[in-house]
Amino acid sequence: MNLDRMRRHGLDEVVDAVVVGTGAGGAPLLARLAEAGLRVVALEAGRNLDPADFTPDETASIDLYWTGERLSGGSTPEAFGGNNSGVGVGGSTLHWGAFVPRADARDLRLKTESGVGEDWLLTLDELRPYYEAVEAFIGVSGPSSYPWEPSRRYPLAPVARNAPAEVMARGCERTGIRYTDAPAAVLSRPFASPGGAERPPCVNCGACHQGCFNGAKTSMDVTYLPRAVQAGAEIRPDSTVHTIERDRAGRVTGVVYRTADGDRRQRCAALILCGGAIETPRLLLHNGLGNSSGQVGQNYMAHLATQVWGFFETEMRMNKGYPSSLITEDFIRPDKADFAGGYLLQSLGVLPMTWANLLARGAGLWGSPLVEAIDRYNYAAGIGMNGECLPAADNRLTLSDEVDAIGVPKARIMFSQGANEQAMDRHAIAAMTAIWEAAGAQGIVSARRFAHTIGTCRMGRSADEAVVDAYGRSFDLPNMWICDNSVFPSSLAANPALTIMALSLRTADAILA
Amino acid sequence: MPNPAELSQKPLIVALHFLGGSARTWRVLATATAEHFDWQTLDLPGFGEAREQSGYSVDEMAAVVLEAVKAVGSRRWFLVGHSMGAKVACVVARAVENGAPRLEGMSGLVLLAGSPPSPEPMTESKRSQMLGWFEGDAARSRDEAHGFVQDNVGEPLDPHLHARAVDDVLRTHPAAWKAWLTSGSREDWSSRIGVLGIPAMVVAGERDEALGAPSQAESMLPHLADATLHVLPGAGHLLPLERAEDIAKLMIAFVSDQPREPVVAASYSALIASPRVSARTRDVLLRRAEGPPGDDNVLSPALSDTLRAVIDRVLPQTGPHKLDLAARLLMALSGPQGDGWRFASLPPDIEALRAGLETLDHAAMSQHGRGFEHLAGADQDKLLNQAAEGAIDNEVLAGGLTSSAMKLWFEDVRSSVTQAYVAHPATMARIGYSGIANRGEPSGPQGFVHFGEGIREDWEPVATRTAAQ
Repeated sequence: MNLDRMRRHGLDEVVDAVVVGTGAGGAPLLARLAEAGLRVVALEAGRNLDPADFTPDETASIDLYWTGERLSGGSTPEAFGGNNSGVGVGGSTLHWGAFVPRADARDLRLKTESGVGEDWLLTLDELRPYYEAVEAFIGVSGPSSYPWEPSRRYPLAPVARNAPAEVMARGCERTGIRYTDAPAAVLSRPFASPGGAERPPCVNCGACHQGCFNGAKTSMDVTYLPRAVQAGAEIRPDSTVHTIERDRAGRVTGVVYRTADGDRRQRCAALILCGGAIETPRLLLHNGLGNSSGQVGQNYMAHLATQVWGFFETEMRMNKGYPSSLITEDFIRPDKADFAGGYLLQSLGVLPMTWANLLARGAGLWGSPLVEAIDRYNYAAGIGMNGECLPAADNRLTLSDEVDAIGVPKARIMFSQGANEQAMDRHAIAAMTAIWEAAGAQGIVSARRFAHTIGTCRMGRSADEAVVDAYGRSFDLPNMWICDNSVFPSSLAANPALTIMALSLRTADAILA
Repeated sequence: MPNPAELSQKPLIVALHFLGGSARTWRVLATATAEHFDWQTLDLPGFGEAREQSGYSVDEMAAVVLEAVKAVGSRRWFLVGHSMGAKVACVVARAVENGAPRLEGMSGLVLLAGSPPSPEPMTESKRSQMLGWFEGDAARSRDEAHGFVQDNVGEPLDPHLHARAVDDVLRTHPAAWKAWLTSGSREDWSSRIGVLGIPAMVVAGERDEALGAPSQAESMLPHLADATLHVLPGAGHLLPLERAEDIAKLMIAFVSDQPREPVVAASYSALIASPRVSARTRDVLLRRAEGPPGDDNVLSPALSDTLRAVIDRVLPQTGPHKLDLAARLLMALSGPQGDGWRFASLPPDIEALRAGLETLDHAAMSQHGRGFEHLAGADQDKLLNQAAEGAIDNEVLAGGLTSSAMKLWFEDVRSSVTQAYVAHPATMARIGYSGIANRGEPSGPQGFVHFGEGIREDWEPVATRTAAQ
């Protein structure tokens, strides 16, 4: 994005807030704080990228991903990098899928309902105005009537369904499953955010995960960040924060960050960490801060994201069109479930390298079956789940003995799915397989996968049990806040980014209050 | 000699000698090209060190060759035949084109003064004269051998070479000599060999009376779909002995002209060049199609061969041209930029790759008494299945990976190999992938108009998949 004319602040200037990270957690609050007149500086570890340089080539798009090494352990280790972790001005929203379901009210009180998992300290009624504000500002496309919340309205008509969505709809019809066009942060018509430039509609290029070249897909660099810069915020790319400084009273006084020219120190009156559920706890553990609860790094969660693939007689050419243009929420609380919580399903078109890699890793294919599957790429379509993952004591992030290029210990993430997840996974595979069978798919294959990074700095009532309060404020450091998916006390079945943006506006309101 | 599969990854030349020759026939030529090629030179039954071996028919000789090159596996190799050896080479090439197991790396055929698939043109007087040789005493036989060599060269050979050639003729078993003259040279393979598609280079001596350029043009070239004919002025019939330096140059040029990897189909290359593809995407794809960098010695030659054998099972490629997935995988793993994570129970990527390959080889040795790359495909698959199931038993090998780590290691290998394969434009062409052309420069077409079930836009590529056929 264009940063040429942004306001700049001196290193010795005590700015009102430093925001670490420019993704879904950092960008909305950066804009809101700047508009309220605060002097704010965002520090982004990645580069400031030009969307004209984005390429659909899956290997070359690696510059959108966080490639600093993480160690992944447990009985079901999760893939990082391109699977869920972004870098650059705009963070992971540069490569996200822009699939934006809202949280289900029942998921926010899972413990009350089921006795397992956690309740959130906020209700859907409290979140709804923030959801609506985000959807109206970024321009979310969706159905005119949402089957699972008929009163919900989306600002834009839905984006067109691609082939996998068409065949999934057919399978749902035949199995009696309700479905609709996915809520997508992708423009179905030209649209300008209030005060922003007009963005053109989606041209169905299919490469959302490799970066949107024309701005039709919401990423922070075409929505909240221009608004923030317009309001006086400064964004410094290529700036990796490694040290948090405090005074004797225990208040944060500034941060030290690494640039190509060495370390810089920015003084600040408040610090807001928005680096995601890996980098935020890693920074806190490295600095030995904010952890009187012992909860920093605990309760790491990843969505169940198993995919089921089918092959059809007609061509799907699933690289075309918005990749996940159909949704069903019929399984948020399925009948006769032997597990707590639930999951949603989406249709899937995936580019060939990501797809073949999934078959090789998650479905265990190799040899002729792998080659033959790859040869049938143009005939494949997928359905993917996004399912609740319960917090568990053994699933956590710690610092390893290995350090990265700037001397910060690498994160080690242990993740093992539990009995609840296994039961849900079985249920979802059966449901997805039934849809594909009804749609006429052959050679159906399932591939286990996990998505997103959640938990590690949970919100809660007190420092006895949580890292931050319900608004993201640290219990230990009164001028430090966290706003990203690390504060989630439970995973929710919904994909996290929309909720992160909503929380970001809410945290900004709390900071300003 | 060392097993060719344990040598470096230079192209391998498998060489078949003439009537009265032996593996030694190639010595000068092999030395002159040692920087470029590894050589596997054979003694056909009844010749050289194989004097006492029987089985002189063309079929039997071809079987000996197929047996000898079994270990070549996926390696890139070329077959060279001289005179009688050329006829055998054509039969071997036919077997390879018909899908002889594990020899699909054959990349070219070099035929020197070749005896054609059809009966060799030879006058009956010449045949009966030669049949009468080597019946008398040693001195007379030496004279006859001397005369045979002398009559078949354009200019006299260097005395040492001449003496060695005469010795070779004398080492020949008389039965083998007679069998070729009365039977082998008369066998008609022309319809069985048909037309070979493999790239070929045919070389003839200007002064070769029976098997010179006119004979090659008439009887050999019709069997070769993709061949060039070179004539060496002043040369006779014993080309590898007479003109080793000239042939070395021709062979180096021929081998370097043959593509190592699948060529991106012309229609797909045209798509890459079209305005539907952005400049950056085009640049990325063209650079990738140029091939991986050479061996950077990330692995020892032995481990490199094990890796290649694993890759052949994980992602089997058919046909003479294969993507060098091993080189691409090593390039990706040893580059400065990782992919953002690794399994916590595995060491850093390259270290893990080595340890896993060593563990696999160790398991192959303890189960079969041979390294992984020397096992039959079914046994290799069995071991890889054990790895996939976490059932590789590895209590012995120091520094090896545990069975549970091997499970993750094999997952990583599957992933890396698959990504290297799919990333290549030849694979994209093979599957008919249109996603590279989803947006060009701002002035060009943008995105897709038709993307529903069963709808292909006019310009979208269709699968070539030729390599599978």
